Amino acid sequence: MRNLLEQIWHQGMKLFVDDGALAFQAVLGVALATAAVTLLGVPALWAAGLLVPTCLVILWASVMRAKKKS
Amino acid sequence: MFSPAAMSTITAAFLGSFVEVVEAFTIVLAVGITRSWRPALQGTALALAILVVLVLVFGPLFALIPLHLMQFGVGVLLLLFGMRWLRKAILRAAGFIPLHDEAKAFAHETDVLQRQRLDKRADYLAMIAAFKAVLLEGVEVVFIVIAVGTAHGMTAYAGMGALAAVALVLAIGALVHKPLTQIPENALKLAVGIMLTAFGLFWIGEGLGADWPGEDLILCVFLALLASFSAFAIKAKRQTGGQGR
Repeated sequence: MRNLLEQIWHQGMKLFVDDGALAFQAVLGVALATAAVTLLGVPALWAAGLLVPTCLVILWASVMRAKKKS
Repeated sequence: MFSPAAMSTITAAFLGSFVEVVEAFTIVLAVGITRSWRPALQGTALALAILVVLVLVFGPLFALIPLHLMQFGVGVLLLLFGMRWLRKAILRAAGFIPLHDEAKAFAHETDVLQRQRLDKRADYLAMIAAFKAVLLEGVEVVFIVIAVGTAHGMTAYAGMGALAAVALVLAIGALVHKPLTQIPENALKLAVGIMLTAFGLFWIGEGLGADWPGEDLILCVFLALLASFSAFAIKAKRQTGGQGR
C-alpha cells in the first residue's frame, strides 16, 4: 500500500515536473509577472503578454540542452 | 454552435484523455488476456470508484476558491503540465527520446504476469496491476478534465471530451482485441501539449486581470504560435544530431 501511495505521489509530481529547471524557470517567470503587476503596477496585459515569449525561450533552452536517450 | 473556448476545451480533454486511456487499456488488456478478465475488471472498477470519489471530494472545493485566484492557479498548473508534454513530444519527434511503444508495454506486462502465474496471489497481483494502471492514468485524465474545464465553467464540456475518448478507446479495443499500436501517440501528445500550454498562458493572464484582445480568440493565436515554435524546435533539435548541449 505504501509503495502504491509513493507511486501515486511520484506520478502526481511527474504530471508537472520532468525537467526541474524548466518547471523552476516557468514558475519564476510567472512569479515575476505577478510581482510586476501587483507591486510595480505594470498593466496586466503587458505582463501576461511578455510571459508568452518568456515561456517559449525557457522551453527552447530546455529542449536544446536535452541529451539523447536510447 | 460551440465557442472557440468550448471547442478547445472539448478537443484538449478528448485528446489528452485518449492518450492516457490507451496506455491504461494496454495494461488492462494484458491482464485480461494473460490472467483472466475477472481481476482485470475488478482492478479497473476499483480504480474508477476511487477516481469518482476524488472528483466528488475535490470538485466542489473549487467552487469555494475566488474565480481570479482559481484561474491563476489552474493556469500555472496547466502551463507546467503543458510545457512538460510539449518538451517530451518535441524530443520524441526529434528522435532524442524513444517513442512510447504500446506493443512493448503489453509484452512487458504479459511477461510479468506470466512469471507470477504460479504464485498463489496471482489473481490479486493481476488485479493490482490493472488497478494501478487505471488509477495512475486516470488521475491524469481527472486533472486534465478539471484543469481545462473548471477555470471557465466548462467542466461538463471537458467531461464530454474525456468520456468520448474512453468510449472510442473501448470501442476500438473491443474490435481489434490487441494493444492500440497504430495510434499516433506522440502527435497527439504534441497537440495536447500545445493546447494545454495555450490554455495555461491564457488563464494566467486572466488571473492577473488582463483583458486579452479578441478575448477567447487569442487562444487561436497562442495555438498557432506554439505549433510554429514546436515545428521549428523539432527541426532545430534534429539538426543537432543527438549530441545535446
